[in-house]
Amino acid sequence: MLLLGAGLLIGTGACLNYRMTQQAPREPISDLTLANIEAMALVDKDHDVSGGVTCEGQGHIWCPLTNTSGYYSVTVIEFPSKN
Amino acid sequence: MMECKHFRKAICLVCAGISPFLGMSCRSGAKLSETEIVKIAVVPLPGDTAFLGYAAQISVVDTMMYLQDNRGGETFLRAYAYPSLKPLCKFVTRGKGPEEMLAVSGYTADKDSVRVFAAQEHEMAVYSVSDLCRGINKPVRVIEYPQSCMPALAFCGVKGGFALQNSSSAYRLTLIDSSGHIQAEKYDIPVSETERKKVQPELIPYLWQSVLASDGAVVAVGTKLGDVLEIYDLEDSLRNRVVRGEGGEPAVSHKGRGMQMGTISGFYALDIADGKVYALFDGSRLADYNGQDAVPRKIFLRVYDLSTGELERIYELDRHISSFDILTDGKTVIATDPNAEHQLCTFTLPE
Repeated sequence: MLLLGAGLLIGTGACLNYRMTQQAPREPISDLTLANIEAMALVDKDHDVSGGVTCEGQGHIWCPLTNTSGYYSVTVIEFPSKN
Repeated sequence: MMECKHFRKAICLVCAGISPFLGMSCRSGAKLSETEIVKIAVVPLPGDTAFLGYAAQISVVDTMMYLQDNRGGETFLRAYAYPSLKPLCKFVTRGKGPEEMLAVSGYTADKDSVRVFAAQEHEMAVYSVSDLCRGINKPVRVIEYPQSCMPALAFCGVKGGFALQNSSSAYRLTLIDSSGHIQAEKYDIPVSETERKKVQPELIPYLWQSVLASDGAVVAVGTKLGDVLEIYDLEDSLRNRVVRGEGGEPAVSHKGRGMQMGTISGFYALDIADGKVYALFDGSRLADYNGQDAVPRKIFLRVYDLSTGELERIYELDRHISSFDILTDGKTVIATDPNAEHQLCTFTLPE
């Protein structure tokens, strides 16, 4: 009975946790979050990569992280929610 | 297809109905397929553009020409004599020191001065044209603005002040004066609810990053990552127009582990002349980008009526220019081609 009860509790907890994760609103990206995200492994001389944002190529687009212009493509890596 | 047409009509009817209340009217897709495309040949100019990275903005004022370079080099701007194209001065030093800037949102020039707005330092540097002609590249004045003016992504002059596209503001335009004050923040970003839900609020101004042009009373705003041209009359909001073209509004798409900002390469530069908005538009799909520097693609100069937002003409240019300025004769255009050996070039608008 004790084992059954513990199993039920864990199962319910896992379900609730999963639902909360699914329903959690998208968390805004704060400067701090951007600054704290580790640089991705994509770093090389042609890529400005940091904080989950990659800005590459030669063009007329602003990079949201560095606030510099002259890029062609901007990709934002999606962050896992903290909740 | 018919249903789609009816739906778009219905949407526009609703927009027309409520526009007096919103102070803005909506125009359905610019009918590219119905507008004749006229081809124009672009001719290189011999000016010295050695070590120029990516020319972002060019303008000719009387006997001076200015060129903004967003990548490469120690300075952001160059001054040339016009029409000789003799280099006069490089100014706005890149850096973190006093009188230096990390990035430039844009500049505006008149007969006496060039005003440069920093992207990150929330300040405007004022350069004297007579100083630049003598090779003096120090600003005569640096005006500090509130921190909420940064990061500034675009900048232009308007009647009685200046306009910014400011990525920390939820509004489309921030109007500032020439002595360090914000005058007003105006207009909502016309993002659809569908796209708004896909993107963090902080990233929407970047998704809607734009090029600006003004004739003083009206500001034209063209999205760099979409096919939306906005026309804002600063004195009469009932005359505002949002022209949504066939390329759609700036949108995100999934790319690897994240999302790509924008699905198309949109507007590169705008100019207002003789009651028309001249808009340099690309329209190529960003999904075709292969990780290399942008290869030459087609680029078009669209001509819109300034008061109605109607797309009237389309010119296809045989070189992928990145910026342009229409001279006072209304026909001669000076432009930049960042992919060419001689980046300065010119063409003439047909009658």
